[in-house]
Amino acid sequence: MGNSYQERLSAWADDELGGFETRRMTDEVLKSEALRSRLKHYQLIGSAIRDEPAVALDQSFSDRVMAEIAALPEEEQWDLGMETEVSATDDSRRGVSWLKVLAGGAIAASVALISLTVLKSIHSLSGVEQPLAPQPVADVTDIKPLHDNTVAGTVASMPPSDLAKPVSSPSIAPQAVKPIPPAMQGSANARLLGGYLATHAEHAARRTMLPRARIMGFDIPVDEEP
Amino acid sequence: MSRVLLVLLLLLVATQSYSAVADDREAVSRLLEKMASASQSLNYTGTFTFVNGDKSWTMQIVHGFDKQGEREYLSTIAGELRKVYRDDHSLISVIPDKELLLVEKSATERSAADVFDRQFSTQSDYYDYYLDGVEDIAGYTCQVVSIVPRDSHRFGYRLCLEAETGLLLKSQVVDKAGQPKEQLIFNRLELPEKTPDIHFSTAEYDWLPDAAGGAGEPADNTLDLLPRWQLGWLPPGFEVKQDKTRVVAGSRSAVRHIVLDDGVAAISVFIKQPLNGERYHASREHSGALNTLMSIKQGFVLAVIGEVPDTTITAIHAGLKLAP
Repeated sequence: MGNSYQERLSAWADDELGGFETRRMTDEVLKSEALRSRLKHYQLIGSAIRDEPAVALDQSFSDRVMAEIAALPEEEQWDLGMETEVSATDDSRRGVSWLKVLAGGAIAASVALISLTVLKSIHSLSGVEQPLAPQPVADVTDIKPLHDNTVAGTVASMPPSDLAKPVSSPSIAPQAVKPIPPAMQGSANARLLGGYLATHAEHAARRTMLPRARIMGFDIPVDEEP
Repeated sequence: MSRVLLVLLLLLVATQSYSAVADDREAVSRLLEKMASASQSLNYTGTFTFVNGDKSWTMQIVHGFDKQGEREYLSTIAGELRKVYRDDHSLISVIPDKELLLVEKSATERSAADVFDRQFSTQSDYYDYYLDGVEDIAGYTCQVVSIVPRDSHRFGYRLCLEAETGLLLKSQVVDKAGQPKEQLIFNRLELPEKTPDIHFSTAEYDWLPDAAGGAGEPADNTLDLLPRWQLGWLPPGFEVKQDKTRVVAGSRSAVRHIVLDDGVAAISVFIKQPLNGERYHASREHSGALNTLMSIKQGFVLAVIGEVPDTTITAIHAGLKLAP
């Protein structure tokens, strides 16, 4: 079962499909016990999330997620081909039992489908591509600073030559960047924002906070190329 | 006499209160140092759930540290498949559902000072630090640390750190009102002695053509103009930690990257002059604790990104000015 099919199934469950798609998916669900079983899993996982108060993810939440993962039948799992066995550390205090690391997968779709709720958090200021002629963005620049806190002794007072290192620095050599195949380039905005997010996670954010998880969880808007 | 006793009593209470706060800050500092070391130097693997807003993701992490350096593989374990590979020499982000594949080689090289700078600091006057009890997460006992902001320019943190190693088992990023913006909790965590190399294989991306000539040449005046952009406003407590010109995946021209930091939160300011034919548009996105704002101003693309409130991002962005 491919990702897109799972997404359509989830969308059907959330009543987010159009009329024709809804009727077609309804027929398929009615005919297939496997699909109904999968939907039940989705609902269980969804319940595990939705029942949780926003302020408290705790051990019981984790237990429910792991129980749902464990309960999924093997045929509903997929494997990305990286399954491997790893020996355990001898740590009986924690009761750690290292049996298997399912690196890349072997865990069912339903866990992530809890995330297929509507992306309410993402919106654009403008859906229209703007030419690059100099122009202010009124709804951004009109916002007043929270208070006057002019930067003193840092960037504002530094000579321009101190502000940016030469681009020829070995660690940022242009040839270090691989061109991406056109099919995986996304829109210009998505590419740039994706690159910025990765750079922020790598060079700015606290490393201990698993900043790369934020890259994965960030829904970069997909724009049409002009 | 009784007045003297009262004063002495008040002094004693005040001293003890101060000591209690100072003790927490010290203890928190030790825990955070341990966390920074553990997250880099331990071998660990596990699954965790990452919740931001209405969305949640269950991900797998495999982290290795050995003679080959620090390596990490992160993947959604189901649903929309997304992956990030990272080692000391490359960073590969695979986001198929957005048709994005971002590859940076040598992008992750950094100095020890850079790593040190990116540990949590307990020296900031803009946060209070508390030990906040213990919890059991994924079969481990962890110590809860609360980092509470004193103003609305930044978020607060509630971290649960494994008692022995200091590994982060749970985190909440909360706004000034205590409402969670983003949460992460480990469902399973293992600490193997080694993590097999197979987890970190990026062979499937080796077919990508080599990069020479792939990056466009910046306009002649780009490098002259980028440094002329100045920050007109910084939130109190934030300082410029880095100011570099980088090549960034997704950009064909050089990008100036300014990192602002208050010891806990970080903000990136990106300034870029597009090449001829490149077209961008303004956008404002937010996902959990991460807010982004991008605009076109005087022919440059300006972007501010960080784990701080949207109002902070907006104000920094509004203060960006091109010096004559």
